Amino acid sequence: MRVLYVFALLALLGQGTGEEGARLLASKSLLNRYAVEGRDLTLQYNIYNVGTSAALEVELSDDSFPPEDFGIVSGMLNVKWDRIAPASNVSHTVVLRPLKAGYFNFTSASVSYLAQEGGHVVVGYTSAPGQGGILAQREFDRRFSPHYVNHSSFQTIGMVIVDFSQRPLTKLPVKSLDTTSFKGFSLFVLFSAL
Amino acid sequence: MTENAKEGESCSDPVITPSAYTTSDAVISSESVFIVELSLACTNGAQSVALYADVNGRQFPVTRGQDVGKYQVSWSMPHKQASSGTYQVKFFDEESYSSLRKAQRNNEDSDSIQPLFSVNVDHRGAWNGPWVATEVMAVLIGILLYYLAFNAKSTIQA
Repeated sequence: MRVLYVFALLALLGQGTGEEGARLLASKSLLNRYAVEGRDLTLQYNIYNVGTSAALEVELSDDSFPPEDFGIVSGMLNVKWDRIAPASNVSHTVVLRPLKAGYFNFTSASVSYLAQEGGHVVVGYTSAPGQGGILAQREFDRRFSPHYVNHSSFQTIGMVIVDFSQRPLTKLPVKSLDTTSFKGFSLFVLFSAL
Repeated sequence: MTENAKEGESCSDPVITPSAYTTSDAVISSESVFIVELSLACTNGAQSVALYADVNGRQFPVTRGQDVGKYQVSWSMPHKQASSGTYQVKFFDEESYSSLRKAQRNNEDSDSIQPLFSVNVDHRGAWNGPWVATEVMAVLIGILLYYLAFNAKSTIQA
């Protein structure tokens, strides 16, 4: 009987000292290899409930993106979930479009929830991706666009040069030049225009 | 486990205005994401309807926006798994969602559970860049032209 009393006491103590209720951990990350002005920027928020009971009235709110610097392509920056079950996670995605190039500090979003039914509101923050560079459209194109115009005009000029170099040049003031050196010269001219 | 959950309101004759986004550029984005946003209006005026989504067997809770009736569901997957085509997103309310989960637990046919409504998302696939880099094409064409020119020169001079 005494053992029963001891157990009951321990159980009560356990209730008091242990952390009951929901506990949310949240991350915010960029799903982009490059952030480019005028192109889609994908953000993903993940919220994990590592507590022992469901988190209620969870609200995620991100106001770290000034509307004059970022346009919204899809998704909402202020959302809520009615409940997040214990030992589960939810994910939320938003797609923005940077309107200006340059450095931008991606800071945290805030998450508020009730750890227990009728409890007080807990406010936390997501992780922050940190400082990142948004490439200007021109710089990104220089590295990654297919450069169709550059290549086709180079080939066309190359063909013209090659054609002329095969004709007899006795009447022209320039001496006949080797095809490779002409191609090299026009290559230099074209790429220096970038 | 009993809990005093808010009674989910049920929605009669849902009218939805959906819009969808899928990743189209795989060079810039590291994963393919799908976003479905919608505005829901119910003839019975129900406002805080809890929704759950099911896409190809994966279930997600649907988030609610600040404005009444606005919902969003989103998911992501690696580019390789995000094949192009139509993804059917079924939306369930509390009741139909619990029947769906029950059917799945008992390994019954879950396709027979009627969703509240569903939205079709067309994914055109994400652009990975051209198959052959244009620089490689340019080099090959250049070599070809040089070869033709050299041949022509030899036949003229021969």
